[in-house]
Amino acid sequence: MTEREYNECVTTYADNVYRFILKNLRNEEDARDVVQTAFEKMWIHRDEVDAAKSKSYLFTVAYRQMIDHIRKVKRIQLKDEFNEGAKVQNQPANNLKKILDEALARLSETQRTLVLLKDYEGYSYEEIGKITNLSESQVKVYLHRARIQLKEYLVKVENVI
Amino acid sequence: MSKKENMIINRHNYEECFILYWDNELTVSQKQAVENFVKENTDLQEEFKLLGDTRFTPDNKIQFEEKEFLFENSFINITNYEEQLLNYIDDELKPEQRKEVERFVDQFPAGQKELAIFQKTKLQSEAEIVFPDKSVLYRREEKVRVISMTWFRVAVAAAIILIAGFATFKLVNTNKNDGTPGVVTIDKSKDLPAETKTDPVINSPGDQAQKGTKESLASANDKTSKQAPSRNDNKKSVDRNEVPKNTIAYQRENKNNLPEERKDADPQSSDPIANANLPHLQKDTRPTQTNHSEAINTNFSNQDVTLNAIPTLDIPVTPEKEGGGLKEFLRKTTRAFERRTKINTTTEDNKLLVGAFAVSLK
Repeated sequence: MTEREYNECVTTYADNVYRFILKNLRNEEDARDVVQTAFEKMWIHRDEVDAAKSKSYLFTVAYRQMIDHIRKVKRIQLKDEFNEGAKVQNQPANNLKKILDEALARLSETQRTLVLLKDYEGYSYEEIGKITNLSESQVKVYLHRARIQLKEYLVKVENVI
Repeated sequence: MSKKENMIINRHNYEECFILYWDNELTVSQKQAVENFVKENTDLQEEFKLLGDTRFTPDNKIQFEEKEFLFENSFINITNYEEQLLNYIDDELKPEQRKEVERFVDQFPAGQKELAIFQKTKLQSEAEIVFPDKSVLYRREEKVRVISMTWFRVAVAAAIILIAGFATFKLVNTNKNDGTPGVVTIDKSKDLPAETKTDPVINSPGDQAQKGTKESLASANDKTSKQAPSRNDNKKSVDRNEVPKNTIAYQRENKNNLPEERKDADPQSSDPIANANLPHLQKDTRPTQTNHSEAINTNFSNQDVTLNAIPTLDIPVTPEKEGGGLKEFLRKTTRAFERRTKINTTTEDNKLLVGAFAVSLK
């Protein structure tokens, strides 16, 4: 991967990776740090990175970086989630996007990651498996469960409204 | 049924028996009994047929077309359709499989409703979320910076070397100018003390100026113009003593070089040589190269130059190139160093020595 290819990668994928990480972490500063570190690692190992697979490499590195970050601040993360859940009960959302965001927040980290990789980036089960270090069938099962959870949440909230 | 077998059909219970007959709930013997009863009672035959016509027969034209959705081993069926709907919205199906799912959904309204909800769970990419400052992510190869720094360092090093070289060159020249007349005066003071009158001519204008200031100071102090010359004479002698002190190192070297050569060249009479050399040495104060060339010419004209004298007089290779390029200047500087320090500027394996200094402890 040349300097030019690296910089093109920044232009093309920086927003995508940032979006993916931000949706998972829900903290702009942390997301920025993770993305920055991911690009830094890609720059350091640019000689080993195939330009054609730069996006997958970037997402893989960013995902691992994010997992490390989540492990470090897991307690705080859980506390936030709990509070958010309480809010949802008190103030039911009115539009689909908001409901979906809340539903997404209720998923496990892995499920959320899989849904985001699938819906935002359109990765296949196989590609998601490579990024998250899961088998294709695992991805399929986790993702389907996540989707059913999302559906149930939607139905439940819509019935309430 | 045993009762029915014993049952006797009559005009009171024939209707039930007819229904049982058409419903195929009677035994063969009972059926035979009903048929015999209908033959015997012709007025009841029409009613018997009517009851028989009320039966429905299956319409073979009506067929279940999507039977495959019911097969357990089919791609999508009533037991696995949820998974296939999820694969469908995850875009993990081949085109023909997608068509199958769409057909299934058309056939089963429940499946269609479920698919609609699943599609709602699909997140839409939020383009408004962008990385705030991409400039921190862009990089440049450090190689470029290294090259530029190297050039910068080279330039600085070259500038330092040039300045140091120039300063040294000037210093050497100054010392030459100060030392050479001293050598001559010493020689003369030893050989010809009477010729000290030539000293004012030999001394540089700077010395004269110094003397002038000293004279003025002396005159200011003593306020007698007549005493001044005698004091001047004393100062001249002091100056003569001071100059050699400042240029001891050069004197020794000059003694090794010039005077001895001249003695070797003309051992018979030192005075004419001294006189002959004097003008050249007086001119030495500024244009050193031309002086050397003249010295060489003088020596060659005498035709008594020994082989030992040649290396000491090899400075002006191209005198006409005075004020020439930097190369000439550096070469001269290098030679001056070599001659003074007796240290070669290159090592045995032809490596250039940079920043080598020699300090005379004597």
